[in-house]
Amino acid sequence: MEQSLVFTDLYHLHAPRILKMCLAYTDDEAQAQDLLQETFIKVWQHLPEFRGDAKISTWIYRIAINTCLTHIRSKKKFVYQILPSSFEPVYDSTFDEKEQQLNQLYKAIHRLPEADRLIISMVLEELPYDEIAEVMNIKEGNLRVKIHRIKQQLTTLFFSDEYI
Amino acid sequence: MNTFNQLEEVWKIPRKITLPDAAEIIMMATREKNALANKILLQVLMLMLAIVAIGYVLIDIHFLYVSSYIGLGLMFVCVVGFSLMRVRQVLFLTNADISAPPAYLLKNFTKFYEKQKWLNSTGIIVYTCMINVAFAFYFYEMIIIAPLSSMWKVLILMAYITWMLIATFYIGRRSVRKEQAKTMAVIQKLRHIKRILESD
Repeated sequence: MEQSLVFTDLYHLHAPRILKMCLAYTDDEAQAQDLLQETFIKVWQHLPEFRGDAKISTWIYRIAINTCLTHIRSKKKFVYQILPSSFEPVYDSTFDEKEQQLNQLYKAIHRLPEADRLIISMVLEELPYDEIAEVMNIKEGNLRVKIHRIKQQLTTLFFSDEYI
Repeated sequence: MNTFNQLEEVWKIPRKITLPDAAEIIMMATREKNALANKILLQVLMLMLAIVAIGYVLIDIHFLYVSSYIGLGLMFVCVVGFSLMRVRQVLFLTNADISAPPAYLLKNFTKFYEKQKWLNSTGIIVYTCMINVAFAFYFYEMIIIAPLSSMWKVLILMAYITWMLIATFYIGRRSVRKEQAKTMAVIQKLRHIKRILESD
């Protein structure tokens, strides 16, 4: 019972950030949801083993990253459906500019190498650099150089592709 | 001026995606744990069944030749030995630190791959040879010496050889290929990540 309460708190606190990271990692929304579920299933199963050596957020991020990295994309099974004769494409007029910008940002992130996608999503989530360095197991100095490069790359990608 | 700060603002725009309920995740985790426990239980039951069957044959049939006992003993060693190795593999994966950094993860997976490769190559060759030798010993009394017509002897041996060939060269190889390809894909991905993290 106590574990359920702790887990629920952790889930509500971290799941939205982890989902954003998964969405930055993969361009498939359903797959991102799968990665999130897989991550939190592991968190639930291993929560009693958490020794508190690191911050719980670091521990969850590490599990999420390992889940993403060891996940092998399964071949998509395409389902072909015959469209009804009256089918006409519908253009959603409510698709606002902000949403379009957000999609554009994810698109730009997906063009980065896998490790960079994970790092930049943590930067955008405003995780402290020392925590990101701990999660990725690299030196903070090295991380800072990487982040500088990724930021430049992402900015270029985003603004060069904007509204294409 | 286009800056990264603008991207930070864009990142804060909420995306319309519903999160699964925490209770649903707990339910899935419990279901997954139960499924794994059932799978292990089934494997143990199969192993027990094989041991009981071998024991039953040993007690119920009074063999005249020592070769039959040697055959049954070898079968027992093969079944138990191979099952234990498989269990070790499963334990290696389930006991792995799920929050280890990518470099450690790569080391672990590489170690696992080496063991998997050994088991799927040398291990399987040793197992196949041993189990066939075991059956050869067993069949000596049960088929060669037994008062069966030549046609029956040939039929039983043909059925055994056909099954062994299918199990070894078709079913076995296919699952080995799948298993190793999956591990290798993870290793390659982790190597690539490690290279990227070590660069700059």
